[in-house]
Amino acid sequence: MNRLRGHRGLVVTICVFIVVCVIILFSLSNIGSIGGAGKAAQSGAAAVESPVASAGNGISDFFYGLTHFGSIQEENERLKAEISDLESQLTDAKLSSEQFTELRNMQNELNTATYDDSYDVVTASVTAYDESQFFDIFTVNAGTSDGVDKGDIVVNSDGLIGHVTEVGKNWAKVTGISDSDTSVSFMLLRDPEVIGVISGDAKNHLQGYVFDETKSVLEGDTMVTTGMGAYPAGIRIGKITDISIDSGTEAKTVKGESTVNFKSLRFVTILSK
Amino acid sequence: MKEFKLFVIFLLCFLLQSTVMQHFSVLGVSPNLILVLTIVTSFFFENYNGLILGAFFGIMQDISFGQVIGFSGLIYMCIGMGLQFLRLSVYRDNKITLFFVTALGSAIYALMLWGLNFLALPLSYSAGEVLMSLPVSILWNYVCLLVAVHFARKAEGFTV
Repeated sequence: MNRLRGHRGLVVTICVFIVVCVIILFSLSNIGSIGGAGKAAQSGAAAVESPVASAGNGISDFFYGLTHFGSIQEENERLKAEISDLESQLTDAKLSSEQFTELRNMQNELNTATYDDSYDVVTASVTAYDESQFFDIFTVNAGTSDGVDKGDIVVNSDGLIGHVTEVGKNWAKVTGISDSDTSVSFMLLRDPEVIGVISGDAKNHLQGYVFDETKSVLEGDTMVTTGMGAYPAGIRIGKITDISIDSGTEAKTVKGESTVNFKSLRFVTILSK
Repeated sequence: MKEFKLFVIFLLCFLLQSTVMQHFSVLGVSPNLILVLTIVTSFFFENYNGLILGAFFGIMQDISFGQVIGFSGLIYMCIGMGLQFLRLSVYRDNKITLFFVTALGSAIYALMLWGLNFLALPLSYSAGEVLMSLPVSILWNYVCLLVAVHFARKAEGFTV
């Protein structure tokens, strides 16, 4: 016993090593799940991360404002002109709102409602980012108390971001579509008959294939969700950057880039069923 | 250094790492503060606190962002253990030695994390891509390490 006391540090280290190995073995049998203890730890971290992230964003915005003053002023002028243009467009749009209501009623009758009216919308800000290069995982400050559930879809104004993979009371872990684990069925915005499946490589790149290789696919084509599987139809996924024919299988393979920049996300919208 | 004080420093760095450090990324790479602290505490202090806290915050990192919990913790722990042995055979207060240690630590962390994830998951990253981002990572970590060493000098138990 006295000999062990002399090597207290080493004994503690060996114990910690064993604990870490046990955690790894347990985690390997439940990949992607963090368990009850993990959720408790993540809840604690999320509570502290949220204000730190806000402060960090504020500091970053301040320095961005200082270093990009000229371009911000230009952007301000451009946005003012855009607002004035949009206001005149709004007046025209109001005239056709009656037609829109009529179409919406027809859509409901035909039972083809879009995600706008069948999902609850929760907005959240990103509080913590994955710093490793391997995964596109981040944490947002909305959880079960806001109605967010595992599997809910996450979007922003640029398009599809991913889905909720883990959720706590006041936080949710989101896995991006560019993560290699996730596959999404897509159709082309230009020609909805062109359907395929695409998955990510965690580097903001997407790759997949088109079901019917006889259909025309062009570089720059916009991919949107088909509505098959977990994602509702019509959400932008990304743009096609490369098309090739697999010499072995003759399948038309495509590469694309997500319209969302996963490394600079601030706010997201969660579509909750 | 007192254990509680060290824990608070690790906690602060863990929070900064996941919230603020993405604003300081160069070519998509930002410094790894937990790795830097593990290196400094294991290389300059004659105790096991650094590697134990490295393991703990590595697990926290995996809980937040990893697919398999414990990989980062295990790697920080291995790096800390290695440095506890290495510290006895090199002159530590030398910038070249520090650069070598940072490069070694960063390379071991990146390649082991890639290797373990590659074995456990369908990872599309290649080892070559990991190596490509390594020089920036090493430089960033080295800069942070020099700052950390500067402050660590004032701490009780710092030895060169």
